[in-house]
Amino acid sequence: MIFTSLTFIVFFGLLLAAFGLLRGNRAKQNLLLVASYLFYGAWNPAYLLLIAACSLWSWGLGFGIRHAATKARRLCYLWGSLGLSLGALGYFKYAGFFVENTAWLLDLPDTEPLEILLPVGISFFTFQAMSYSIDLYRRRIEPCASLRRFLLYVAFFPQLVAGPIVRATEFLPQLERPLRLERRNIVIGSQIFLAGMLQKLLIADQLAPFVDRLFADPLLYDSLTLWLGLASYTIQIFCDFSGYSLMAIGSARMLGFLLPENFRMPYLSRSIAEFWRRWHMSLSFWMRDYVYISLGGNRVGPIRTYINLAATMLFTGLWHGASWNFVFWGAAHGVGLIIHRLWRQRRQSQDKPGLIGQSAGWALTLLFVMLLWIPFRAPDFMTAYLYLSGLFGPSGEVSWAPPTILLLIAIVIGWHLVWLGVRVQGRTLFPVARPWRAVPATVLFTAILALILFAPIGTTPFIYFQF
Amino acid sequence: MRRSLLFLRLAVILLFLLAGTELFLRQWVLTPSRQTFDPQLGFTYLGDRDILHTNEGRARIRLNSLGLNAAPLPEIRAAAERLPTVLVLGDSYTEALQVARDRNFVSLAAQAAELNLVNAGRSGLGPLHYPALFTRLRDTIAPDALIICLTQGDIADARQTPYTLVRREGHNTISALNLSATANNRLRSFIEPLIHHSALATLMMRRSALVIGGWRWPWDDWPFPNAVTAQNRGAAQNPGTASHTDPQNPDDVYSAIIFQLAALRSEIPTALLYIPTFRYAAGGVILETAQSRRDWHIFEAIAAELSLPLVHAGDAMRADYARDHMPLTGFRNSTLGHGHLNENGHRAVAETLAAVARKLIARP
Repeated sequence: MIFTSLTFIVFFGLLLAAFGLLRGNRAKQNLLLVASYLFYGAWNPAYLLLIAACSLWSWGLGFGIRHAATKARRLCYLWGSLGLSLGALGYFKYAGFFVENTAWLLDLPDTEPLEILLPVGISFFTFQAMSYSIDLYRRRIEPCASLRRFLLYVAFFPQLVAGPIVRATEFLPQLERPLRLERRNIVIGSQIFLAGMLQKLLIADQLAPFVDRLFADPLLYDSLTLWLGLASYTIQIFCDFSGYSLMAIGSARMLGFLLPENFRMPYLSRSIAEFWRRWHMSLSFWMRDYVYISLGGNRVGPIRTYINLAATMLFTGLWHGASWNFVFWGAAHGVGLIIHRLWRQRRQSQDKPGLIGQSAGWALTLLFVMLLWIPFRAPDFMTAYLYLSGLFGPSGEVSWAPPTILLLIAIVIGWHLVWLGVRVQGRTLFPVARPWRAVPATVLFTAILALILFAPIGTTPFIYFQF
Repeated sequence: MRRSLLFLRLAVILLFLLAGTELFLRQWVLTPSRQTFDPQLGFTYLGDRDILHTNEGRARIRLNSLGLNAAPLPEIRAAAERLPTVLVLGDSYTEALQVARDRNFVSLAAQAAELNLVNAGRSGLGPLHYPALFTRLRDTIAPDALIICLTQGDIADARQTPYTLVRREGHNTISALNLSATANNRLRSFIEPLIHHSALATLMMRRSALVIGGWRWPWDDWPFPNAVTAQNRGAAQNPGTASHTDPQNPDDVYSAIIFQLAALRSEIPTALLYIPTFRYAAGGVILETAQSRRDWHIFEAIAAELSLPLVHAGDAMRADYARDHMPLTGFRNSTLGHGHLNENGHRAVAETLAAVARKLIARP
């Protein structure tokens, strides 16, 4: 069930109605839990067992982590708890990759590839379960006494399949207070959801066919077209994932839940470090808190700090999928972060850079991020190489600049410039207090009409579903 | 009172927005529907109307009084007095709403061959429909010869076309073929008149049809994804097809196509032109798709059985791509290398069409 499908709209409408009619927190939590399992089961009911097993295991061992008498026992419980999540992740996501590469290393060409269906959202719900266990170990939270609440924390449907990755500290306390439908939440939530839909359906999905064609055969097109394709993919992946996150945040908000922000105009970043504070924030902060800091962070000397940075980014790359492309992408970002850190330390002046310095930083960062989207998007290294060489060297002869693509790129640039100029800090598109005033109403009607008239027919999966 | 004012204000905003959208759509996206229901052909176009096509390319074309993408009838008749007239039947490739009229392959071939070629292509039609279309145009246009443009997908479309074969009693030979409207087209007969005056209504109706056609219940996939195949859904949505002809029996479809083409051949000198579909790769490499090759072989067999001249337009297309390295299908606002012929494609096909037309007219 995809957020942009009619099925989801009907499902969510019915859920909202039932949520409003039910009395009592327990009943509402039960309803949300059943709805979340239905949402996930609509894709493949067999994998409901996996999500339930991960949740039960982490919940059960959580008590052991909290109450074990010695540190060694707590550590045992922690690794036991993490074991199932990591094992599931390892088997479903990386086993095929491991077998394929081992067979290549040992020169066993007859090895059959493993055919394992990757459970949607496994990288997200296992990370949520793991963060709960690690937070318990670090004594940041108390064990969740209610199994129902914990099951709901892991499986809460808005963020189940593609994030944002929610921490137990952020979500579980929200289940303690009275759950009810509030007009203000519905208004804000629906606006955030609509903004996400606009990003996904009117920007990302419109750019996708153009990008797909270019990456299918980069040799065919000239440099300018390839640059246009790269700019399009840069926007597509942002609007696709940011759109999903907004729809998740919006639908959760309508039900009265606050989910963390996942994107904050990442392409306006002036350094690669800033980029990672603005892009997929729930993942980068997760990696910072649970991988980078666990490895010692920046308190272990400069060399180890660089190694920790590189290792964290390597994990981040690998998190996106079992492919050398992602490993390379993560490693390259790690190198970028190390270079940025070195440069920052050697820089004498502590003053904020001037406009020229900031602009140069922004341009370099954007170029670096864009170029690294090539191995991220390309199906293999060879295609990535061909695309990259087409950008800077000899390229094909076909020149292709669809007007719609140029218009969409201009719209996105305009949107960023407006944000930069006005510095809108709110999370909603329209003024919340009086959404039916003339200007917001016109914008709202135009947005709905544009979706009705121009959104692609049929459901297109989100890019991050594959991770 | 305040609430009424609020609703009034919202209504005014909505009204202005809808009017603005209607103007925007007419100028940039599409014209109101020009189609009218036809029990045999599904639909025909209303005559003497403009039609704006922007899905692939961008062209605003004035249909003639017969609803064809061809010159006005008086011009066709005037040319017929000077030059031999050849009627060109085909599907959307021939109709060519994507490019300006003087750039489509029928117009270009007419100039090259110095013949009066009349474009009677119409999207959605195939070999089973052409006798019905020819009968309607025969008296008005009075052609001297007929060229039928065939494309990849014509065979598959014929399988989806609802028709009834009448066979001679006691024999297996076909005596007649009756086309009938699909349930979808019958529904359109009620809806089309409602949307003839609004581009917004036309767009909404076209999109609704796609949404309803592609609707899947949440339990379609239960208990596992892809349990309901696209083929099953297609069969379920077109029950009428199965009642008239067995779509699994290709011989039935081939017999029907042979019967229809034979009917045309008996009335007028006829030739067939096959426009293949290619995949375009770097360095001027061009490969005909498997389905295109398969359909070509089927038409080759049919043409041999009927002793009809059949020409493959691929050589000219290959030469054009090898020379310019520009795909012959697709547009800047759609997908290059996919979809309908662009101006390069029309130029390449025109060469072959002109040659076919000249040869057909020169035949005794």
